[in-house]
Amino acid sequence: MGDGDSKGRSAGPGIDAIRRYDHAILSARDIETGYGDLQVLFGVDLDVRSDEIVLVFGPNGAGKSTLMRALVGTLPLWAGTVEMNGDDLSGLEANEMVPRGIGYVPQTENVFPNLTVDENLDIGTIHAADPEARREAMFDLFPRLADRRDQEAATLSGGERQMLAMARALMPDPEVLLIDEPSAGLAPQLIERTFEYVDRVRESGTAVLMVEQNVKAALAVADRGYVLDVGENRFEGDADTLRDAERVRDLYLGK
Amino acid sequence: MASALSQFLQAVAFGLVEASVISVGAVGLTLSYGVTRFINFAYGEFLAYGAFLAFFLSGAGAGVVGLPVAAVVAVLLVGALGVAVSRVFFRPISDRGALPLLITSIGVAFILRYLLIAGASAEARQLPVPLMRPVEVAGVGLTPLELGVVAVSVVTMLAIHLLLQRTMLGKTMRATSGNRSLAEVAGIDTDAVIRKTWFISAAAGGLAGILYGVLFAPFRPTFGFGYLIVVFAATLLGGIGRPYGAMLGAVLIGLMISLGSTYLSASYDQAYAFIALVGVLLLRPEGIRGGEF
Repeated sequence: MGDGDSKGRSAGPGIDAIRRYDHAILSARDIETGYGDLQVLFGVDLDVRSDEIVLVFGPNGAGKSTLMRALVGTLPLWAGTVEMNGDDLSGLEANEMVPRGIGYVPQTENVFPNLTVDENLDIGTIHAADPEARREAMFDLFPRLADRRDQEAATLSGGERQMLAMARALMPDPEVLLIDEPSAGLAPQLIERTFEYVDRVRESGTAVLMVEQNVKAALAVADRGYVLDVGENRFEGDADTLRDAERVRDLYLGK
Repeated sequence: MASALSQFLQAVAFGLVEASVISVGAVGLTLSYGVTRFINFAYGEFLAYGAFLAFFLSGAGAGVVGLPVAAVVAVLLVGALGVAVSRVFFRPISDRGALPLLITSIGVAFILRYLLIAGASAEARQLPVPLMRPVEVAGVGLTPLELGVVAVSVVTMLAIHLLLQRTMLGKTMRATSGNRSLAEVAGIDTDAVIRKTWFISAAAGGLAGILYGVLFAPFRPTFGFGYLIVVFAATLLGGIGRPYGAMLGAVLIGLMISLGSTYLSASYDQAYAFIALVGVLLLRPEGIRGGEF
């Protein structure tokens, strides 16, 4: 990872130093935000480069979902910037992020329950250049959805909903897909499958930024990760480095 | 025996005619609820404005255009009124929850009603429609005017059905109704969708008012608020926020009013709707919790 430009104490493969990248597609700098009087994020830096799967993990209450919401504009920034390919996105409405290449899958309530599978994808076509080609690509990626295309999303299983949520967000062919806890609430045998899908999303040319509690399985597909704790980056590094680092393991990966 | 049967069929026919008016009104009310999640008590005034604008624009008032053209213009104007009202009164407090919005809408209803009375006087008016003889089929008689009201309503219901199922606007309306925050991050400009929904909702209210004026002349500027109870009963019966439920609710309420008027007493016609409303709240309270379309 040669273009890493070290901000802090030590260089090398990351960990203590939060590296900043010059050629990232999505870049967040010094993000601060919160709810009402409660500050949750205290200056978070984050980069996602093309063809990368980036994982954000850390203990409960670290501000992981808040970070996602700040990046996609559903939570206003108190300070800091979010840039996409060098364009400042700070202050844009959430609906203006989609045409700028950001897709987002919230953790819960991430499909339109009253719309059919096809109609959920239709919503994704608003900003899609070639809707029918995208729809076919989604049915190739998630063949199960093709069998369910006329069913209301409310009738889908948890795993199918997660597929539909990802497919809807992928319809406009975003440059980066943000996924909040894709494996939450899924049966163990589906969790592995979910990360296979994440991997295939990256193969299809969309970078992925995901928050995930299921760190071991997620690190298996991720390239890089950030450890978030009490609203700040604690560690950053390549997936292998984070997995093997003792301090990270003791603190955040479980024994 | 034959006359008892034809009396019943006649009552059913009248019930369906009234259901046509209620249905247009109920669908409009339920659409705005579906995306904004509050019950707009100013909705009855859209009915009154529709009828009065049609009156003034057509022969009976300024005498510039015929009733059909006047009706179309009135419907569009009421749609614009709906957008303006939502912009001025509802949007600034849209993040305060349903109760402040609901109470505000009661205030808006008073403002609109007394502006109408100030501008048009409290006098009863009549749309310029000819008196017509009923056409009898199998002992059931309806005037061409009444059949016309049914036809306009059926076409309106079909149009709303096609809007919701086939057009991108309709799908984004349903998506916004189903999950507004997801709609926003999915790239839908939900403010614009809500604005368009206000237009459609208020326009439907205006049309319902005109159909009311065609059927139940003469009418006063206060009729909208009174008829809101009837529209409201149908909306709740179908589950507020559900357009197809509102259509079904309208048929049931229309039949109830007509059968009640025929077999019990015609003096209490709107009371039957009120009884139905209370019944819904007692037996089917989920109707007021609402759903999405």
